Amino acid sequence: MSNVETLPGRGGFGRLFGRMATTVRLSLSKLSREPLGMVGFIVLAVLVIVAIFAPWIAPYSPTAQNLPQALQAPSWAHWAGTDEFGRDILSRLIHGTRITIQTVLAVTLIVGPVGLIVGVVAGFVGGRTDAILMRATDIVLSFPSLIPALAFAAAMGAGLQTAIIAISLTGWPPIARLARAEALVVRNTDYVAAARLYGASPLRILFLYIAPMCIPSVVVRLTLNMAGIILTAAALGFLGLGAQPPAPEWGAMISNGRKFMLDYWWVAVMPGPAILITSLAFNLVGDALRDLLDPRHVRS
Amino acid sequence: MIEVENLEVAFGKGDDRKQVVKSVSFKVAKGETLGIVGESGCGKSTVLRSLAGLDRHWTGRIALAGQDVAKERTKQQFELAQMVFQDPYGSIHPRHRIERVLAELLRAMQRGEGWDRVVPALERVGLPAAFAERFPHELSGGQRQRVAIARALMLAPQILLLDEPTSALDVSVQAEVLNLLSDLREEQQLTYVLVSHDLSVIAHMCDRVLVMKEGVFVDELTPEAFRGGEITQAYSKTLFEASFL
Amino acid sequence: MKEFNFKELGQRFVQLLVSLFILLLVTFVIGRVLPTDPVGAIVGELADPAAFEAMRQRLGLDLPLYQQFWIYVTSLLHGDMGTAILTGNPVTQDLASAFPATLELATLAVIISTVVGVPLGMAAALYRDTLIDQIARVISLVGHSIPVFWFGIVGLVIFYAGLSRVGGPGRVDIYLEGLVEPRTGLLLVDSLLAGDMEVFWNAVSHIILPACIPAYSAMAYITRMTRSFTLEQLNQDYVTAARQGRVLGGHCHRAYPAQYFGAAGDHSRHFLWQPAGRRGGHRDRVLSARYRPIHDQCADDWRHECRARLDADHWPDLHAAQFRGGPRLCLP
Repeated sequence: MSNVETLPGRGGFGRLFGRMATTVRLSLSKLSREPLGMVGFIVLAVLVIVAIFAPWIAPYSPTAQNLPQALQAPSWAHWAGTDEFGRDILSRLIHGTRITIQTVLAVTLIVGPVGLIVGVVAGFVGGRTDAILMRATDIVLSFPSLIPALAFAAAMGAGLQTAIIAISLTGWPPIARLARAEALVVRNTDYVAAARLYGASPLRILFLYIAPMCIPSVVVRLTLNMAGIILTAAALGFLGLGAQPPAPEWGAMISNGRKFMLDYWWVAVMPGPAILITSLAFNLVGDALRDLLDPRHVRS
Repeated sequence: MIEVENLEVAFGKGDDRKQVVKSVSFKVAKGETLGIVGESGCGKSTVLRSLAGLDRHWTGRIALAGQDVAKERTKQQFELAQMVFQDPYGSIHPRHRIERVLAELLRAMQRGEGWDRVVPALERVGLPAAFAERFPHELSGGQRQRVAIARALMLAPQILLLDEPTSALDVSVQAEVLNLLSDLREEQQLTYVLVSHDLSVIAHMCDRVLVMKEGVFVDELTPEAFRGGEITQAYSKTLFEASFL
Repeated sequence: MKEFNFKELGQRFVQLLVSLFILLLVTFVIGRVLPTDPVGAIVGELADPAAFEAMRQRLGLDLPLYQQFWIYVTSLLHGDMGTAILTGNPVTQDLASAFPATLELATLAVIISTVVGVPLGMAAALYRDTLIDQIARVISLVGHSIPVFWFGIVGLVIFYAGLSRVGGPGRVDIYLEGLVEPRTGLLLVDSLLAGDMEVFWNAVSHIILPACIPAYSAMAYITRMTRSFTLEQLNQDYVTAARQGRVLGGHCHRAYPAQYFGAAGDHSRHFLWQPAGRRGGHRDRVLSARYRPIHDQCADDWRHECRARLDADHWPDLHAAQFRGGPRLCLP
């Protein structure tokens, strides 16, 4: 249509960009009143930058062995000390952010859409579909998250991909539950009734009316879940089921350091703060996002 | 314009079965405004939702514009009657801009993009074109209800079903919205069914009033009788007195 | 409070049985489909084919899968959890030997987390948005974010290796092992019953660190929940009225127990006791295909979960409500 461009409300990318800029500016000003959340965002930003530029930031190679330098205590040359092969622990931690961020993103990208779709469909369609989907969700939820991971690793061989799949397998049910609860509320609103009155198809209602209403809480939930994903991924690494040596996976580094923990404490201890800070940052950001995206929620 | 015969609505099954509407029949002529009054829970909203096609638990016969409609409506049948809901805060999608709210009808009906119809629709209900870009939460209650009316008129229906259209609004805004509805009716030859428990609204708007109690109509009144207080039926009288005294 | 509804309870029970069955099926399938070879693990890679086949028959691995599953389920129902394929001990015996220690550890951890978490959460709610609230928030956030296995190592490095303030691996020092007659299996109780204070304090020094560490994670949840429930109750008028003259403890606490059970259920998996120094043992065991115990431990874990969920009544609704309300009562 040719006259579309002249009408208000329709515009190209310029307008869209302007709208997004406004939204971002508003969010930032809200965020500035939430100092802890701001700290979380900054830490995450730093982590992402570190992950991207790891090879340029890290002072040493994460995998090159240097046996004469083995098990050195933290010093100016090696801020976090060296491990039993003389590898610089700080450099390994810096490269490890890549593995962590990669795991978190991959799991989130699997778990988010799957949980959202399962939950929204269950909540919207109701009846038998709902019963079956929720039963399945309950059963998956009742698996302690490490058990399928253990079985999986045994079946497919340990590795980062196995860990990602295993975490995803048990990660979607909470999202599905949440999306379903939201969908149940949205399904009965008048605006969905109005949409029925103008003949909107179920799919249209599902994707244009119900799903968008569930997304903010799902995003908040996913962010908070990321904290848990990091811990689970590190736990799998610790058990030797995550990324395999010599990849600098944080959990595996802790596990590895256990052998010398009484004499050379830094090998086991140093990766801990990295996990703690990352997980904490996701928790802080999740809390802040909840305040931003979920207007009904009063922080408690 | 509207013919209803032996409409019955019941929810639930077995022991939980509750008959909300018990065999009601009525007709509404073209251009007429029919009021339905009654206490909350008497079944008046259910009648309206059955007319609109939202409730599918009814039996009996409903005809809109001389055409019998089934429980599942076709798109053409949806175009005959649209509904304005009570709460303008809940009846507009909170994350859609007004332009999208209005254009959605045409898009859902697969009648083109619909963006070009947004501004005329806003102007028809007395809102500036600039509102198209706003979100519902940036509008007042009265403005939102105008948007809801604009939306209901988008498909050019002949019948508008009004479910307590002003009860969620401030008193000062109520009059404006009612006047808008009156004007639109004149301009576009609309037929209204107005459900309310507010007798002054009913008296102001309606050509004919049905009094509903526990799922049946117990009385039919003219607005003159209403305004003059010439009411004979006992229940209508209680309702009337409770409202005006 | 909701009326007690027997019909609903019945429905839930049926649901529970169905879930349990499917869970058993899934764990069974995972266990059997694994390409690891339990027979090879027992008789050795180089055993002759006859011995190999004999062991296969003894383990019932030559039967069709559905028959193996039937045997698995029926023997479970008879209380026979089978024999751990690798150690040759009955699984019930393995579980029984670990159970008292697990119970002791879990109980202590629950006590510690509650005793610290509830007052902290209440203080945070009462002094909302003050320094106290912020400190409580940071403490509980760190508790959410800390990797337990690392925290344990740090604890050992500092308090055992560095300061020698706590005992290390094991339930007591080796020279004290077996001195107390095991009556309940709970070493703390047994040593008190025997009046042997040396063993008691030694056991305390061994259990305090392993109990405190998971307790901290649990405490993080409890503090958060207590805070939000207290706030909720504070916002209700009757407490506002009562607050003029009375302490709020009695008022607020009626609503709590169900949710606490939920939290305890969540954390029960942290408390699973394993002989010290074998925390990583899980992996070795799976990889060597000692898989019966895994099933059973898994089912056991799961029972914990279900019980907690039944207690927490209407879990799904609670779940949604609590997301809005603040604390996150959910499985990680």
